[in-house]
Amino acid sequence: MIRLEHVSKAYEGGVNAVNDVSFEVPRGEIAILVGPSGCGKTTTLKMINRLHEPASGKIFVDDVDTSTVDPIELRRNIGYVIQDVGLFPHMTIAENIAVVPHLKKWDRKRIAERVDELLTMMGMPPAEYRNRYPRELSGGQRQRIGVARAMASDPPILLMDEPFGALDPITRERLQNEFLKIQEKLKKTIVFVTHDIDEAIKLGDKVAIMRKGRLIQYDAPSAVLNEPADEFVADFVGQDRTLKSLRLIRTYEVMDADPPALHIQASAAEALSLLSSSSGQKYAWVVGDARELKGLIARKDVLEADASGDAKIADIVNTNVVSVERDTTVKDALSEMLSYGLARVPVVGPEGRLEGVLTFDSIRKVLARIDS
Amino acid sequence: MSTFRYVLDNLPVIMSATARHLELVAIALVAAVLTAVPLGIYITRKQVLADIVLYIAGVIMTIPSVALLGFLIPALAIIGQGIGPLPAIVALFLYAQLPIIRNTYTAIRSVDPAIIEAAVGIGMTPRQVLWRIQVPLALPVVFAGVRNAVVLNIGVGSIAALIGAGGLGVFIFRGIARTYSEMIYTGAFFVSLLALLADFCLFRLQRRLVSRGLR
Repeated sequence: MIRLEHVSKAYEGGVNAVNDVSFEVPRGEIAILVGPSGCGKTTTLKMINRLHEPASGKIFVDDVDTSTVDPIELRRNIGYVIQDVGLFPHMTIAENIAVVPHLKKWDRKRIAERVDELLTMMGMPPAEYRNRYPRELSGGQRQRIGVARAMASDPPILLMDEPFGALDPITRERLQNEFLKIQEKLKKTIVFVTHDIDEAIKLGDKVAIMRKGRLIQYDAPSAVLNEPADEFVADFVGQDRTLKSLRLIRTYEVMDADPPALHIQASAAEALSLLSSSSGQKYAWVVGDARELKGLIARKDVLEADASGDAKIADIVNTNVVSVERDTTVKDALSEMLSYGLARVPVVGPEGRLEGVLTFDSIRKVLARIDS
Repeated sequence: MSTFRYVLDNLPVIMSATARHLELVAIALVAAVLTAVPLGIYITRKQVLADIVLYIAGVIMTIPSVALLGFLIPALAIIGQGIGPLPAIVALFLYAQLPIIRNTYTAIRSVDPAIIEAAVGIGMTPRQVLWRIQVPLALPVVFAGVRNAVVLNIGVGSIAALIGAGGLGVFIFRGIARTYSEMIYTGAFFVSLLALLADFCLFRLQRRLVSRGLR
């Protein structure tokens, strides 16, 4: 738990200053500090681990006043992530991740195990990445290592300063999703700075909107979207509130469950009975034994194939199918559909199992609900 | 061809002069690294002192080497070392200061502030930030300064012959005195060769000491 009480910090010219800011981040939640540059969000973040000292006010971490704690000790128990430049270029990936455990004098074996565990969690095979150097990684991979380093000694609290800011939009989207998945498991208490309101709405349990050193609104994302505290917040959130709300909704919440599906070993005859003209069904998803998505088959493909003899589904299935994961935001799924020109997209769960299908129609219904 | 002949005929003398030359430079350089690197690091925290130190080291560089020896002979004569290797070593030591101090200072100061902030932010003490982050990151540029100083010193070291300190300069100065050009060529050739070899050895050492991540 993190609590700021009337925290202020003055700077010459007022840029980056912080003026009487109070808020509380409950244990296990993500609070996002967002606002235009110079609004004091990064200063606020850096006062929590005492990289900056507040001029007045108090900051509590787990009900302990941080000004009474040795700052070195405090920082070792708070994970800290900055933009990808923060990795140490002369250290290998393993050494970078191990920095804090090393400072805390963990034994060698425990450190090595922890490094491997974190690399695995980040989807980077330890044997392949352990001994590489930061310059040998892509921007997205470096950022994953930045997060892994911050979590190395398993601190209950993470501070993240625009961690995804320097990434291309696709990589950013992917890392945001991974980040949410990891957070779902680990339940860290996180303060996260961004200038991107979309990122704030997507990732935050709470969003803190700052302007000129003041905290204007501290609320759940839906409240910020639907009941902006003032003109500034409304402006900052933007006019496309309805579309932004799509970021708050996960695909599984709006998909059509139980879509038409065929086993990959099925015969063309079975396919035709499912896709008969009387059923009105023009396509079916093709799945394997565990209902894992294999592809798509259309009625006309079956008709063509059937004319030429006894075809198997396995031979004519179109395996080149784009799918989205069940907890993708509807906003991301929609942009996926638009960029591939799809009217519908299958929704898959763990191990690629088919769970449903998302169509423009289902999205339209959601939009209508939000607008009303 | 006659230079080649000269070298063959005088090989033992040349080798011992080369060894002496190397000895003078090596002693001066080790001493210079031991003082200039810590000084270069120290002044990164004291801006005014940094300006003064770099200025003085710069002034020393501008003193012609013959004149510097001219100052050192009477000064060291007080302790009975006016002639011989000591004034030569002191002169070389002084010449090595500027490239090493300046490179160390610049290298430490130019470490990306974001990296330092990351180090402080995850709980390193100032000492840990210096030794685990700044120094390793500064190493390539510090090495460049040391290599610079070595090449410079091997050249300037020829002057040591003038005050009876020996070294390869002996061939050059005697050659000039006797208008014996083979001797001059021999001295010049071995000075250059020594400089190239020393630079190469330091380059290899640099490859070993500097992290692969910085290449």
